[in-house]
Amino acid sequence: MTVAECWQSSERLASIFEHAVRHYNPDLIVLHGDDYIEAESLGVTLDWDNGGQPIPTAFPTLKQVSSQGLTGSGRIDMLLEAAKYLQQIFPSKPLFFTLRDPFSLAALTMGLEQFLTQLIENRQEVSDWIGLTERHQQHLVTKIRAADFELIVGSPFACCGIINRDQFEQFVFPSLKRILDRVSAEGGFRAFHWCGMLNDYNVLFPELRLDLLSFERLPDAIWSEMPGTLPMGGISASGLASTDPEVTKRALLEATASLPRPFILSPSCFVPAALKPDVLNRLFAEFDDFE
Amino acid sequence: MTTNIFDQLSAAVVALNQAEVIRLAERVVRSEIDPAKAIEKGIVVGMEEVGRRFACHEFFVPEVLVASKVAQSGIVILQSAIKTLPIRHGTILLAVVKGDIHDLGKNIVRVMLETAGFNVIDLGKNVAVERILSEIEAKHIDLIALSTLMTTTMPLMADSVATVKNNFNSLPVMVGGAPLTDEFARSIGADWYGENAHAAVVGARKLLGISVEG
Repeated sequence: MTVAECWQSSERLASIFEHAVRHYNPDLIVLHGDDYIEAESLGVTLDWDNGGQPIPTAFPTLKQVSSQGLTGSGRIDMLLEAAKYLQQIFPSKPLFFTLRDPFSLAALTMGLEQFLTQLIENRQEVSDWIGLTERHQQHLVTKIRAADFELIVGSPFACCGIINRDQFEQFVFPSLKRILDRVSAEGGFRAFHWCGMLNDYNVLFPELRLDLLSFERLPDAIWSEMPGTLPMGGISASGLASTDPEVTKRALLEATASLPRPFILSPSCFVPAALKPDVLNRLFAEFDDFE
Repeated sequence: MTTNIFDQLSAAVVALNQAEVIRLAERVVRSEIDPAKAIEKGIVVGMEEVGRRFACHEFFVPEVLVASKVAQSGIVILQSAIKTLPIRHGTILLAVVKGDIHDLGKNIVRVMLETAGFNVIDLGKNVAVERILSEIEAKHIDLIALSTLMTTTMPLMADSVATVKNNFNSLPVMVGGAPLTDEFARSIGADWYGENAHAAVVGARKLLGISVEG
């Protein structure tokens, strides 16, 4: 089945997610459609028929997006319907919707390379875009919380050392914090996902007052700065990609040795589609005797 | 005066000053100065410094993108005045593996490799290994460079490297991308792991035996 075929209906989406949940049997579900579906609702044209992930083929201008107002969320509605079905089947498993932060959504909607170039050449335009995407995401937070789902905010283009600390502080942090404030004002968890390594941004993270921080690779010292934050992660991408169970186990134990307890053990990033469940089950079994 | 203008060109690239790069490039074209030397000792030196700062986390992706754009604006002017084709160090086939559409890192690597003097054939993103093989058969390729940003496509990266090696054992392959590690690269048979764009240039030079003049 192609990615495009998966999106034919909310029923099909739901059945695919149900299969994944039964296959891996997690305690918590993180529902992720695609990084681009929010940008699509803002006017990005996507090619869904290339046999793989959707590829952007055209980007709207700031003026076009400003003038159209908040449009229908298209596939987001389909995802919400799929989530409601999952909630009925797995009532004991908390379900988190992924949401792009305003900075990353602006990058996806404007075109990533153009956006990052404008971060230096035309900062005002970048600010204008982020203002617009923040309004969109605030609206989406309300919609998703009204359906009683949790949210986990991700900032894919602020991560992985793409931007510097000043750019993070000026263009990412303010709107990200306001989105998290909106989530908690609507009764939700302040949950955030960070890809890759953290660098000198970590001094800012305590100000986000996170209930949950999902991570790939973070310095151990950060947790002492955020005593009320539940870590979620520990299974590295390269650990999952290794075919040697001893390598994977070693990576896991090293990654979790100094994590504060309790924490949520998770792959913390995308899991290869062909990953066998017993790879994860073996990893989870390492913690069976853990107090 | 010649050395001075080369230094000014490289400084303007590092300063992300497009207007100054254009002004200096036009001055070179109007003068007796060899435009190919201006590229090599001015713009390429500037991009080397950009790459070094990127590797040291002084510059980040936005700065590298703007520097690339600034460098290209100078190169276009200078190349128009070059009468003979510049010598290229070798031909590199560059691609993002099948299943992955993220090409930002790959695009930066392409610019760095081109300004370092390599001929780059960029196959783009979501590239099946069969296409890579047919390009190798059709053209003279000296090095394969593969990228992926996603953990889900790491197995496909492994398959691509194995397939290339099975068919063209002597062709060096280097890999890069955020989820990769040196250990993973070695485990899948790659000859070099590029942690960043600068490391990709270093790797290409090493794998192809290119020395850098002092």
